[in-house]
Amino acid sequence: MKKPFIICIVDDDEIYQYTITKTLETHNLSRKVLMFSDGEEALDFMIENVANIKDLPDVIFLDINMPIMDGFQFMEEYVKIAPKVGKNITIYMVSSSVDPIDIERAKKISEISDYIIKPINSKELAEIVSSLENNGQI
Amino acid sequence: MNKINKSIRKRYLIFLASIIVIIALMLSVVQNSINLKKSDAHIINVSGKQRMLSQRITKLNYIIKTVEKNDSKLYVKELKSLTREWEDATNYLISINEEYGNKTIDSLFNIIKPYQNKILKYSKEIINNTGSEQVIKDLKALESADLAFLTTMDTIVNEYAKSADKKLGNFKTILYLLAFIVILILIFQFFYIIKPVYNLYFLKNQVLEKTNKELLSSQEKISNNLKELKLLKDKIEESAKLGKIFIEQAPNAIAMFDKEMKYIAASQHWREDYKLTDREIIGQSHYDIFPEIGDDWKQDHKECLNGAINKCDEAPFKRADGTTQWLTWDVRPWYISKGNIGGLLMYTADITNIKEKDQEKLRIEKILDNTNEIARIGTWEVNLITGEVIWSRVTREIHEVPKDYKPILETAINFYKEGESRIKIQKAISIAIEKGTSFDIELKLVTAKGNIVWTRVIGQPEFEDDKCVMLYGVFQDINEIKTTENALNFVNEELKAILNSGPISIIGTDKNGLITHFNQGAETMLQYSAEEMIGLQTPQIIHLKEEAIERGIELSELYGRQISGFNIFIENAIEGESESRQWTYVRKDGSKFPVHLIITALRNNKGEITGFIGVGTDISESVENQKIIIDAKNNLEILTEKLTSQNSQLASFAHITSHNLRAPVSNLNSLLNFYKMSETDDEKNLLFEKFEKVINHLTSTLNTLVDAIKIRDDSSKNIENILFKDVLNKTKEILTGQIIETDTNLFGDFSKAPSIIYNRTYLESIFLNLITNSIKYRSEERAPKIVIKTTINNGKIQLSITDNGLGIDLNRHGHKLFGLNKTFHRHTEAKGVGLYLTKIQIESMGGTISATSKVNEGTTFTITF
Repeated sequence: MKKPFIICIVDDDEIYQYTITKTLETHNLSRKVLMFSDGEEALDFMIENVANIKDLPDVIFLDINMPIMDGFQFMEEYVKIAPKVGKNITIYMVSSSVDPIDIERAKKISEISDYIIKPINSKELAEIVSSLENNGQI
Repeated sequence: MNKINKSIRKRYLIFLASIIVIIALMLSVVQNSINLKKSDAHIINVSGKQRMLSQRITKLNYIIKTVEKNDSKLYVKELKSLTREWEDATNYLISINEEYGNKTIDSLFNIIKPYQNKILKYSKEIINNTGSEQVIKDLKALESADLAFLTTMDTIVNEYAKSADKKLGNFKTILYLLAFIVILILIFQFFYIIKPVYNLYFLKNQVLEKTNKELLSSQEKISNNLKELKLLKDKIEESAKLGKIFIEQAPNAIAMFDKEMKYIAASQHWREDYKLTDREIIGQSHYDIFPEIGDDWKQDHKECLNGAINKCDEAPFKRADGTTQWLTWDVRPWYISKGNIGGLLMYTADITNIKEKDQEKLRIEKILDNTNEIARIGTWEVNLITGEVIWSRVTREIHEVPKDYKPILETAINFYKEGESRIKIQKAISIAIEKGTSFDIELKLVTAKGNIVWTRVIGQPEFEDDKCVMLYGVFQDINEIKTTENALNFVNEELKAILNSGPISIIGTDKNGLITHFNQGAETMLQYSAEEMIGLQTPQIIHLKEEAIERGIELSELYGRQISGFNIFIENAIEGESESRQWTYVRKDGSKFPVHLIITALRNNKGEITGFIGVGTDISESVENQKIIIDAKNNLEILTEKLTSQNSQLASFAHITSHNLRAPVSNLNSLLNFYKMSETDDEKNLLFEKFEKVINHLTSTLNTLVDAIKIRDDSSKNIENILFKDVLNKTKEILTGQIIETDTNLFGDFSKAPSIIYNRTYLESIFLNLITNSIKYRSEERAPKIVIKTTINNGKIQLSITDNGLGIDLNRHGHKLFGLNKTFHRHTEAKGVGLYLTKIQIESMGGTISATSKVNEGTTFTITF
């Protein structure tokens, strides 16, 4: 049975894009996957659909290291538009970086629910999705 | 009078009220008669109309009789309405008459009633039975009834007119009556009001005339009296004048008062003593002029007014302005006749000056006594005739003898220490006695308690008939002064020795800078002799001129005013007591050496500057040492910088590993998981393609890293002199294809710094990378233009590469501009390697790279070698 969520992936790494999409599909974890290659693309989408609740994602998996606009820059901009977004969106920072500076920085942003180190396996992904469901966040 | 006025007013009011009542009454009577007349006219009118109506009814009945039955209907209808109107009017008249109450008319109405009823009855029958036989019969009856009705009605009308006439007569009578009453009232009012008023006026006039007469006679009396009074006054004035002159011109402060203590006269002296010359006091109360007079004095005055005499030799008078006047006085009464006191005579004398002098004397005596005590000065006297010796208290104290000790000349001299002191005093005394010479000598004294004390003895002989009769003088304990003086001398010697020993230059000047002291140390150090300097030169001669000027500019800026010449050295010392800083001294032979100079301002006990003193130490050696320390510090700083740079490079490696190496590895892990689970060959092939991609990426990243590490290792090798022009040409060759394709313009300007000693490979790589970047990120809107320029900044060669391309938002991307695999444009060729390697190459050679940029205008990279 498919879960009712729209999951948004913001990452420039093609291989990651491929593997995560495949994992979500295989385990029926999402209703729809939104894919963006950098922060700016994702942000543009959010701004365009700010009032369009049914098209907005429920969860964002956000990479740090991206061209044009990286994960932190995206967060800076997102915080500004967050009050206008008609939906409570859960954001996870997902990065291969184990650099403590990155982890600390992510933890200081209250809009970010957790910091996940790549790779995420299917089990972890399923747990995250079901915990969100149980918390009634979606 | 008032009462009469009041009653007149009252009467007048009553008069007015009665007039108003009469007018109202008349108005109502007239109104009433008019009303009556109106109703009478109405009734006569109605009665007349009644006659007319009955005639018309009869006439109509005739017509009805003559016309055809069919035509008669209209007349019957009219008859009907006429009959009703006639009936109503008849009823109205009857009812009115009941009110009217005229008996004649009443009886007339009684006569008319049967006729009236008949007419009514017949008319009704005619109306009901038109055209019948009965009608003709009825008509006849009607005719006779109508005639009777008419006659009677006429009488009634006449009767009404008669009654109205009668009423008019009544009304006239009433009016006459009222007019009569009014006249009566007016007559009464005249007697009641106007008469008393007139009487009153007449009475008053009589009184007034009488008064006028009296006044005239009294005026005469007054003028007589006045004449007498003037005579009397002149007499009095004459005598008062003399008395006043006596008092006013009295040579003392004297004043005369009446019983109320008001001034009758006061002497000029009085006015001057109490500073009253500029105001008039005669006639004024003493206590108003001197509000400061207390109750005790007032009491004294009261007693004097009862005959007492009050005298006082000396008493303070505290004035209102805070000063104190010392007064002596005599206050006594003056008598108009025996036993009849007229007031007070007051004589006072201002003794403030005398009092103050007395007090001053006392005070000086006291001060002198205290001074003697503090200065330990006593007095002595020797009466050479009686041999009596008198010592003052302090003298006795210095000798340390009891209060009641009685010296004689011999014992007094024996107090001086045996030997020099005693010989000296004996000699001085004998010369004084013989030749009259006074003496002033310092001697050692052994006190009664055996203490040795330095004393100063001043003696003065007094001669009578060429014979010395007395010696007197002053005796002072100068032990402390003497001891201090000795100690001071010792210190002075010691200081001198110190100042002249060792390599310290001590130069003193007066407040204008003229040298007043130039010690041995200064002589040795500066090669000038004290004689050449003292009183002739200022310290400017030994200071390095350029240094002084520079310092002068500095100080002028600091204090905001021109500071030059000698002031350069002392300005800070004046402001802050002393200044300590390094200067350069110039010897007589012109050679220089650094000194540490402390300049202090010398001040007298009033705090005024009297001169300056400069203490200089030769610090040639310590300057040398300082240089070594500074060098060591600089070396350490360079080392730290290197270490910091290496540290940051290490940190950047950690960052690269974390971001750029872990990412592909984690991808490989994920792909591997899928691979394990994949079932079909197609799936596996797809995954293999992905594997290949990841592995290629990983390889290239690793290669870059290896390059970077290599750069760090051999950066110091292979340096040579390279012309920038050559490097640019080589770069152009390599990029020929791209330059032509994109229509790029390249300008090189290396005139400021044509060449550099550098690693050739790196320089070529830097040029290639930056120029490639400029072309790669060109704007599509304009042909690329790249300017490459060298300059020299702070002694370092700078290379700038400026393009007119897309530009980078440095606010957003500045922090990762030179990072590995960082890209800022969605550009297929962007790999994020070039700038990373460029930066590493520049930094490994000890340089820096920075960028400035404006989006859509272009970017400038600046390399400082």
